[in-house]
Amino acid sequence: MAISIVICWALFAILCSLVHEAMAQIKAERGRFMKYYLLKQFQDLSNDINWAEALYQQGSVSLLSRDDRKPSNDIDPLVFAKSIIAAVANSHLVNVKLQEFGDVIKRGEKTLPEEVSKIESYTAVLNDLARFKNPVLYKFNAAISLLLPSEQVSLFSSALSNAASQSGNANNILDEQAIYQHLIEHLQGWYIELSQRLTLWYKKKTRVRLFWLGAILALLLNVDSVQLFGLFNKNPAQQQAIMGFYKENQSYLEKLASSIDSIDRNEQSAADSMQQQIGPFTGLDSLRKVAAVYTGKLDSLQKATNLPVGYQYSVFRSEVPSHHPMTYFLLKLIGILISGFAASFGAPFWFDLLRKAYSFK
Amino acid sequence: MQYYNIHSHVFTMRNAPERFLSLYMPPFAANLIDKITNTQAGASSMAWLLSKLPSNIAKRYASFLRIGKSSDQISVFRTLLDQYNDPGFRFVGLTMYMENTGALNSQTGFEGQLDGVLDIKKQYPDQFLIFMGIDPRWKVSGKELRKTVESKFNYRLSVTATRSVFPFVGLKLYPSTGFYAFDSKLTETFEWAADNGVPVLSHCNYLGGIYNNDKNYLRLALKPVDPYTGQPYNSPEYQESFSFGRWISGTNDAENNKRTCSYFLEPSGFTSLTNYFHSNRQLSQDYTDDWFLAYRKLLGNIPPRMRAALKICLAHYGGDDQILMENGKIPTKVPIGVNPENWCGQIRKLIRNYEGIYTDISYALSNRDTHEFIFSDLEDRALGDRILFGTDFFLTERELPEKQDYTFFRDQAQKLPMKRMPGRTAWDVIASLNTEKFLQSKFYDGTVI
Repeated sequence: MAISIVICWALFAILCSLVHEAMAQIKAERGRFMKYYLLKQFQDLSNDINWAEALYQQGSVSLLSRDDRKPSNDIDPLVFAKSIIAAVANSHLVNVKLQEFGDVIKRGEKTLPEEVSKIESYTAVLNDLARFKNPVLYKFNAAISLLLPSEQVSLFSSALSNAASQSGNANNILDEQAIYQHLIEHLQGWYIELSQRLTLWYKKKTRVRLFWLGAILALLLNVDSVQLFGLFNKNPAQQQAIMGFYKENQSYLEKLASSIDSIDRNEQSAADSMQQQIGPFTGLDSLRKVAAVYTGKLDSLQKATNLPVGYQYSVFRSEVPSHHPMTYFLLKLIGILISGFAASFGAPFWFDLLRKAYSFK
Repeated sequence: MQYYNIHSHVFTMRNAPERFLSLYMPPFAANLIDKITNTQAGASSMAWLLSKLPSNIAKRYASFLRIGKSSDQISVFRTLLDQYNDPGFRFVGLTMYMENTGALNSQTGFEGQLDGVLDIKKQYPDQFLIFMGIDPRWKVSGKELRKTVESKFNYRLSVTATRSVFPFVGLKLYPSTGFYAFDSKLTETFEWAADNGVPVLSHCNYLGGIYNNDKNYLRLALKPVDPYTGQPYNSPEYQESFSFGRWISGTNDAENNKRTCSYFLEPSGFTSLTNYFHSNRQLSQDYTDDWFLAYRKLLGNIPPRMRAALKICLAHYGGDDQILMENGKIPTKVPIGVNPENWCGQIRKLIRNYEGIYTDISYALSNRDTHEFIFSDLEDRALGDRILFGTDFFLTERELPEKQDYTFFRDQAQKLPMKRMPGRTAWDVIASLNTEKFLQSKFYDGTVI
């Protein structure tokens, strides 16, 4: 009986994930989620600028999406690293400051005596910056030296100083190509780490949403765990039917569950390999096709088992028993919330549990 | 002749405070609209829904939101360009410091907004003229503010391999965000502006536009000491009122804040500052500017009377309602402020009394009833040379599409020969001669330098 209810939860979790995935694709949620956090992480309040905004204006990033409201969630770490360096180096904010320093020094001979020390310090800064001949590195370094201290400037600064120390300098001549490479590697590493955290944050957010979505769908489709539990308890034939369905479709269902999960984890290669087996999965049209096949299977299961699941059994359409209506509603609410809770765990969790249960048997 | 629109905006919602929309509508509606229009599907559905509504206001708001939610400032500028069939037309884009409006910070930061307009300037160096938004709260001291402004104005923006231009040509103030134009931190910057002929444009529309939505801040900021008179500016009072309807929609405080911000904006608030720049002001001593030093070497000590006045444009002519009230077209109401006089009347007085004061007709011109009074003022010898043409794109999209706004006014003005200037039309005066005179400075001499 327990296995039957777990199968029901697994099937329901897939349905909820498909609906959630459709919503996520319509809203371009992953890309927007990523952009939201990049904008948050790169908001440099000290310098009154958002480096992520500048990053998204870089051609190599902006051209990845066809609409501003649908930003790409698939920015390659190398593209990210190169683009953020370019965004910082090419910002007018940095260039204005550089030119200001140059102008003060140029005016040197006409300046009042009390400004001499200022000119000396400006000259020292520019001389220090001039050790980089590569214009991008020169300006990136200028940003670090001339901008006000902030978390973001400190990230750039540590990336550049690590890159410089890793590449070494022979005869006091900087190997700028090596520095640039190491700088890119460092920023790539940071970005990969952030992406992993973003995946976790997104999964957490998805779990909460799946709970609410699961509860709503359970209410509409009468996926009442308490009622199902009672039915399976009374009717072994329904148990057998649902277990038979699972055995028959085990491979298909597990692949479907994993492919949805791998999209959430942003594992493109895993998703790709799954897609080859169950059909294409990216884009709303392909998702609709996958959903149509899946709901077809669920329909046939419902007919075979005669379980009271579906819109026709919804609480809005069924009659409330005249005896103990409060108990009916309370049990219904508990059953629906349990189903929502089951959906929030995600289908792979339930299929994993089923695999273990079957291997134990 | 070179024609100008002296007043346009190209900022997007990302440059505006996070709760920008809540300055214009109840917070719940602002939140909902913001969330919906953040997605492509939501924005399209919203636009479709609004276009199906019979009300023209809804359609206008849809257009306003569509432009404001553009991906970047250059897209907004291109939308503006598309409305004009004159490829030589020049536009002043006003940047705005909106980081202290009590509506949270902007997504891009103010420097991010400036970076965005400089990207437009790179692509449209001759058509796009930038006014830099300044605010006394931007930098810690007046000296730092002046230095920042100076270095940004002196920046040579590379447009092509062989051409670089000065990116900024003027300064923009938005006092209703919570400061007075006579704030002492602005003085050094204004001195620099006056010495270099750099024009300043200030928002000056009665109860219109962006305001500071932080009640506690406003209570503290309302009564400073006016550094030009040395006297406390004591008269302003927080405008506390209650309306049940506004309370239900959650806009009671916002309305009170907006009304209170009138004190920052009222034309009379500019009098002490204007007096200072009109009288025998001493030149600030620590100039290191090439142009200025050469000038001083050439002339020695400049006699005070030769110093130029600060050019300030008090925009919107006080607002369309104020223009109509001043001309007896609608019943008069006493405005909120230290001076109970009509704002259009106050601006007229300032123009007559001080040589550096200008006004523009932006936003007000979307109310066509104002046109006859604007045209008659253009014939006035004192006022006529200081009225400028501007539209207030894209904020005016809530009233009228830019193309209709501009075309209708231009067609009327072109048909109107000037009696006091034979051979010229009202259009030539308002959109070309007056504006060019206002704009001319070390950084713009009628051509982009």
